[in-house]
Amino acid sequence: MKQAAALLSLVLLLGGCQQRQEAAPASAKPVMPVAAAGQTPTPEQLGALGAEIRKDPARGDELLQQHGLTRETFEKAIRDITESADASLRYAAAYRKASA
Amino acid sequence: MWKTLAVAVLTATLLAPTHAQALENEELLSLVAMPLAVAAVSEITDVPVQELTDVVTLLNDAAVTPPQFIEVIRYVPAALVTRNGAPDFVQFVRDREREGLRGADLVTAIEQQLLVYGVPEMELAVNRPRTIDVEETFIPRRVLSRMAEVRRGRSG
Repeated sequence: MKQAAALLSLVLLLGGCQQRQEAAPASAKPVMPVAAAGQTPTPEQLGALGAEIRKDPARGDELLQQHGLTRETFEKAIRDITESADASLRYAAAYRKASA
Repeated sequence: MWKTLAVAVLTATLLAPTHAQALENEELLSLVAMPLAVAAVSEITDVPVQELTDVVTLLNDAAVTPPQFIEVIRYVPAALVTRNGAPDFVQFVRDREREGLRGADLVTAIEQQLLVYGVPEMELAVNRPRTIDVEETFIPRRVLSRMAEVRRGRSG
């Protein structure tokens, strides 16, 4: 019984450590933010960022953070783009260019 | 028994964060794909861009999730090109949104309405993204077939 309790504690501790590691930024590579604080990123900037995220989705939140965005602000900016066919086409062109 | 329990707990604890992370990644990739989906449909010759924009805006206003947004956009061209007395699809979506339908409820209503435009049964209210990469097969074959039928009807 004691052994099981000790094992359970160890497992929970390991799980906690794993989650904290995932939350921490993995690299210190400096990246220019897609837009200055308060400015709306352009479709081209977001398309290029989207391609970066597609290449390495596990670093998605880190990439957003490096570009001064959160999931919420990113979603808002993306939905704004979808409401214009022209902006969506510009996003898609930048995405394809950055994916190549 | 304790060994079995310990192994089960260990497995669940180690896999749970990975699974949650995978879901979060999929959600983010769906977001990334949203403008790609709109761009792909807007490039189809017959699709009226203003009506597409109206549908997209209504989906956003109703907080339709990114995976469901993408599924609706894949099938919507068939409804937007159909005329000849068929109900106005944009007006249908607008009416449902004004009635207060949000998210998956609105998507379910759209799914049923698309049958009116000759699109065979489909499942749009997905929980996880079905399509992340917007490639040649993004618009389902049956939607393209339906659009070709409409075109033939116009020219015939």
